[in-house]
Amino acid sequence: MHRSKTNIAVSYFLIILFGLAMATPFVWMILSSFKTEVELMQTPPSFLPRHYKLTNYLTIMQSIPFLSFYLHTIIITVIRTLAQLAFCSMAAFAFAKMHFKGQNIVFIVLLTVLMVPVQMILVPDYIIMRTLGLVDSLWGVALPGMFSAFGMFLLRQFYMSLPNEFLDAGRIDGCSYFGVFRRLYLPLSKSALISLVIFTVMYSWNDYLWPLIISSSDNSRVLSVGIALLQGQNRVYYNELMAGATMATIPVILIFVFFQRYFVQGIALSGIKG
Amino acid sequence: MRTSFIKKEGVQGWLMILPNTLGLLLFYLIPIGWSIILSLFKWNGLSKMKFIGFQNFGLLFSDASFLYSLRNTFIYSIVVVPLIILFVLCFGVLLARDEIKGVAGFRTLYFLPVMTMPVAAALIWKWLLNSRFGLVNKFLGYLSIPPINWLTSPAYVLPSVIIIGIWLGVAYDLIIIISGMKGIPGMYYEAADIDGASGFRKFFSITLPLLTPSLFFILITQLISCFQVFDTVSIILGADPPGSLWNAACSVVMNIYQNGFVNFRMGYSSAQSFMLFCIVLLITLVQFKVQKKWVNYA
Repeated sequence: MHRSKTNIAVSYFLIILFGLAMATPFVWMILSSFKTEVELMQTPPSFLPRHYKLTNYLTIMQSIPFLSFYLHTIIITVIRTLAQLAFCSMAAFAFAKMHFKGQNIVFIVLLTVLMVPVQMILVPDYIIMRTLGLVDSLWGVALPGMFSAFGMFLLRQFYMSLPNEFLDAGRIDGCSYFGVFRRLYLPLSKSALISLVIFTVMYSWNDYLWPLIISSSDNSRVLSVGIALLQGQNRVYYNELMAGATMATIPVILIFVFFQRYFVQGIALSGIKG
Repeated sequence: MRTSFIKKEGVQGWLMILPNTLGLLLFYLIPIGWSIILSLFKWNGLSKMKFIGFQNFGLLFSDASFLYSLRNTFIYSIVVVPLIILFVLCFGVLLARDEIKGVAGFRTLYFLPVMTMPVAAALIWKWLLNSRFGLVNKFLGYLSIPPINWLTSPAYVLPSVIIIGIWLGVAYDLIIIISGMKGIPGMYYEAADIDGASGFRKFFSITLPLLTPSLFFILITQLISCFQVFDTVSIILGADPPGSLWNAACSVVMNIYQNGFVNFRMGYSSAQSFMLFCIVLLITLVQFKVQKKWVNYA
């Protein structure tokens, strides 16, 4: 296959042009986070900051309990991810490989959760948390997101594609069903589990509406709510806000860098399986 | 020989599905039913619930704020979804070609928005769209276009939200489209080359038809998420926006939040979320009906 040199050159030009356009907001966030108030407002705007000082980062950590918001977000994300991994994989295995009374009806009923917009559960879940005394607590923020119909469905589809022979072999050797799942099927599903981890981390890290509702003080606030509150204050310093936004984005970037292959695969997978 | 209770397949199966099933039941399924029931009541979350039949639903059609939010959400979705698909197709054609050296590295530039928290993305754009110091107006200035009050004029606040929605959505869907394009067997293109087909011809006769399943998926998921837009609108409007801005940009979910958790009209808020559910369900069902006419499953 031959492509003319101009064709390739034009492609490069367009790829770089559009790529810069897509990346500009992100780059601008990082650059602005280092600038001083004066630099932000000068005309024409400076592109690179004059000094790379962490002043804005320090200020934002002092003006709101940024580090504790950070910690809350990490704790909640870890709780939700571990819970979804354990609960969804177990349930997915049972639905895919085992046979018991009522499994089909339960499965279909659970899938209806996927069709209903999350806004419908906000008021009842808030009342439930109030009854349980979990309003404005980390458990209150984390709880609904510890269970997932999407994750269960994703993993179930994966287990369906694995052969049944392991189950039979394990059973003959006297393993319990749970033992077969834990020793044989779970290690085989590593790639699907990593996809689920990425989805759960992204969802939990970015989650805004539910934490906004359930948190009423700094005791349980997460990053998304924290930086949103920051801009509600009287004077908005965009350099500090951008420092906050940059810090909020770093963990997700790290995940992308380390798990790029799974990251892209996982999202592509969701497109194929629906 | 009797197998012990715990060793039975049925018992183990139920034990394994138990945690997720209980969680989904308690925090999702029961709340869904409860929300539908609540929509028939007047309730502030504390006092005694008062049954009022379908009054909440009747109120929806005379509530200006809800009608504005419905209009805004429709406009938002109808503009954002086709533009995302257009951009994603253009970018996909450029980025799915592995014969271009270094293309994998360039893809990362396009994926950056996926990694940005929507709240943070809205804040970044709020700074970019700032009427005096924002990069966007500076850029428009070089093209001799007078500065636009993106965030403070009712005419431009919804377009601002739309821009952010497109920026965030394009990146995510691009990943799906690129993998869809790479899944198309190369022999189709080779055959087309032998027949001397032009690039455009190949795109419209091979790429586009074979991508329709991915496009259908993007259409369905993007429409659903567009109808639920909240994070970006709430950041752009900020705390306590003037009425004209609120009417110009508030979304349905913003209304649900406002009624449920600011005004504590929980019954009315539930009625609104039930309406949203019906709208989303209807649109999705129509999509599935219409797909038979345009989606090719190989």
